[in-house]
Amino acid sequence: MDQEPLSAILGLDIGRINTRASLFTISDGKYHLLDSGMVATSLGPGLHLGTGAGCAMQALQENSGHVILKAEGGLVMPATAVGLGVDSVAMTASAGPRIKIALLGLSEQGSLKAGRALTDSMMLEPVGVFSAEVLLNESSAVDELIRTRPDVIFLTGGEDGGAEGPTLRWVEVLRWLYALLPDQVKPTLVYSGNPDLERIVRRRLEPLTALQISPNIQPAVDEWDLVPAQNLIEREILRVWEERLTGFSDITGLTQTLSGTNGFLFGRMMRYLMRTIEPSQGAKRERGILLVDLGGGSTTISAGMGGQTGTVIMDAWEDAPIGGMDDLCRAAHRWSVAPVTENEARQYVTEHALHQAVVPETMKELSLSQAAARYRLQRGVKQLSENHPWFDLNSANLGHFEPVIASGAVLSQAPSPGQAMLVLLDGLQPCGITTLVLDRYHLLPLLGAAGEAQPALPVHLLTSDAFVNLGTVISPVSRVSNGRQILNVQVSAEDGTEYSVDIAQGTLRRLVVPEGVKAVLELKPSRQTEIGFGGKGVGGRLKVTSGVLGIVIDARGRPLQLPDEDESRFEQLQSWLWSLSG
Amino acid sequence: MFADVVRLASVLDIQRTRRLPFPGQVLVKEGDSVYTNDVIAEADISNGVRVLNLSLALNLPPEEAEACVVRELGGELQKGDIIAQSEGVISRLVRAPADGRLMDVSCGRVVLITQKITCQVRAGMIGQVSEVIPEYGAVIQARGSLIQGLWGNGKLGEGVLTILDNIQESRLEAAALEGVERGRLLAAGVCLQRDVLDIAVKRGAAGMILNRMAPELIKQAVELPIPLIVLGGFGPGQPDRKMLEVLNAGAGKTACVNASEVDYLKGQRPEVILPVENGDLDEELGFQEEITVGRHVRILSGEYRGWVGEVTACEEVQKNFESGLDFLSAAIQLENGKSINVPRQNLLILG
Repeated sequence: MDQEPLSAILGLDIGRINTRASLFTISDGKYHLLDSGMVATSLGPGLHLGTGAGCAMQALQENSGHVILKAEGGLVMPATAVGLGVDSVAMTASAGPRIKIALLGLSEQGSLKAGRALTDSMMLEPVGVFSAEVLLNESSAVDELIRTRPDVIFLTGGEDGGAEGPTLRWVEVLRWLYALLPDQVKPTLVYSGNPDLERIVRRRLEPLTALQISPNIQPAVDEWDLVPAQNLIEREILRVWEERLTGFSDITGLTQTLSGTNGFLFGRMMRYLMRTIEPSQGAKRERGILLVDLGGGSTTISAGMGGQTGTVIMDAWEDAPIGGMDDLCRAAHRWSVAPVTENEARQYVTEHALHQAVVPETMKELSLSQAAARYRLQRGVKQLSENHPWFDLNSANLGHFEPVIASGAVLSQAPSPGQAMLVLLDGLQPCGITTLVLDRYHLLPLLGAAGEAQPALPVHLLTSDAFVNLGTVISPVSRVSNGRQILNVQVSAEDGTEYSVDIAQGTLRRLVVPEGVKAVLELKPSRQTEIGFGGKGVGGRLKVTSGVLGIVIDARGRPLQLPDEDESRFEQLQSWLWSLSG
Repeated sequence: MFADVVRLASVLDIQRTRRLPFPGQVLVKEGDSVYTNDVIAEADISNGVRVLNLSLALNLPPEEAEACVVRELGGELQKGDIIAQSEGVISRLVRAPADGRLMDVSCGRVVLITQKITCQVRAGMIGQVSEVIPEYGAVIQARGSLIQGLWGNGKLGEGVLTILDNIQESRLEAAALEGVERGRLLAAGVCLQRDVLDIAVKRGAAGMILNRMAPELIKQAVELPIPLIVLGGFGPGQPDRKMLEVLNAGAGKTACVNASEVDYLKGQRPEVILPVENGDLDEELGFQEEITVGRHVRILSGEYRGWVGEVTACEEVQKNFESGLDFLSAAIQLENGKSINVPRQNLLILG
């Protein structure tokens, strides 16, 4: 018997800076986002996460007119009438601390590479990475593990049926470690290696500590399977957050199992979207999807292509402010559209690292926040490609990522969609053809949680106006000098508009087609230009639905080059902004 | 709307809990007076693992080699003690390479523990032990002035508080440190120069309390052997009148600095505590409080970033700011009498 669809689902997004409550309701058989409410997250001693969540729900109730709270406190569950109550609660969270993890494996290029990709994809802080070389001095390995005091130890290494010796030595080292550590600080142990050793690992280590076993993250050479281990570690992270964050367990209790960390649910949505992707018309290569989130406390980038997926989560203000964040300060100065001095950029970045909830009040602050966002995207893309060699956003030869779905207040609250798009283009620097979509309310991770209870929810929401099509972007790649024509675009829109545009190398052009109007683009690249249709000079037809910014041709070249001289650089950045109607 | 609170109080009953992460020995009792660097609890973890290959040393298969061990597991050993001895015409011996304890015998190997590391918890302030937490630590209490900052270099210290003349001015120069006595806790305005920090250390300063500091000096500050705390932040700003009053009232008295990092979960900020005996207690505030009329605040954005003032109104309608964005704002009266509007998220409560 088919289950009745849930009529109202409450989504809670507990971020480091803000808590958002969103309500999804159903009408005419389709789910949509009714409304949302947002307040500052209540996190700290004497504070209860539920206080912020409650205030967010109150704001949601006021905004939407849908009653979700009882007068005496608590949720109205289940939904009993239209506009009254909720059937289910889902939660995504990024408010908690990174859990300290030590990686133990065999080789840097084998199991530890997979291990690093795993730790980079979750709310984890690697406090030590130990290869089999370390086993030459077992005493130092034990001492270092004692010193770093991880919350979790992740032991991997050896393909299925592969080498056993080094892993068995690690098992003995861990026996000694657990014998030395007091119970109160014994880390949870996760084993995700050669399954032939599972029995020995259990026998030697299960009596000593909480042991969890997941399938091998590297079952064969160059073959990774991170998802089972991610599932296991996700549960551990949530368990620790329930211990350390006051009120977190109350909220997860409401959601039952419909909860997770932001990055984990992002990855889940990526796998879901990859199953639903259709080959892009006209493209002769594989197509992928890219998800990016510029959260208040962290940057999350998730990519999928050809059956492979990968995610990285990076602190927004890494090493802040102790390390001085030299690279970030330089990037903020370099990418600021508003004229700022190096000193102003450094002060902004350093102060913002101390006060991450601060919003941009002045033009300079806005410009610096957007400049920092560009750098965060560039760093995230670089780290993702280091962890996953199949991912290369910036090569027209390796397929393209379409769509790119992006979220984060710096984008959704940008004064104009052109600014949001420019941050994404400058930060990601995609090649070929893509569509930029803005997730205005940071719904993707929530859909990853709520979709478990109601699979139709993500399907309906992804086609709703909660996701804004900023526009299709064509980024031709060519080595010719600036000013030379590299592409001709013939536009035929369903509203009857027809025109032809020649695109010169070094330019950023916006083709105005009203939002929502379908158009066919006839693309004719020059012989030295690649646009993603299968080689240099290969053109074709592309059917698009025009976005908020119409269609954008980014022929500025890759990688983007900026003048070193300040004034020239500000002029260049401002002219690009104007091209997208600032 | 809630905002972070940075404490700036003339008289408070201050309590801090100091505890070990695992059971150990508490070295103080209720009523004891403690000073900043006093160790109040400590616990040992054994380490210094030494692995001896019995099988190789005795030239026997692993099981036979293990049978030659003549010591009990957990037993204490001194360097040279016989751990294992094989039988036969020519007996082979395995001796302890260092003092330690026999931890494990398996796989033809013997594991000794030869060292220990001691985990210690320090008082972090001048006060009295008000409560002992058995095996873990204690609660330390003091009545005093509390000034919290935004950043610290992780060190502890105490000394006689010395206010350098130019605390209200913009730059701390090396010349201001001439004649400063050793063991002084130096409070100053803005530090923009590397050599000033080095000179302070050379002069034997017990620590530094700066209103503001150039961000380029952060790396150097981290490596200083003395505590350094930044009260107002990095970049331009204005010293807070109340902060100056509290500091000036403590001049010449012994104060302590705990320049810890900010930890939102524990509610920890770098702080200066000046014990006082008398005075009306200030209001108790949490780690976050609501922004309301009358709150003393520091502004974190805009033309008046770093300035302090008082909230005179909380607007209920969003205001459009120069950035083109709309936010709920608060009207702030600055100390120079001027009134401005600031996004409420961009305020830090001082009190």
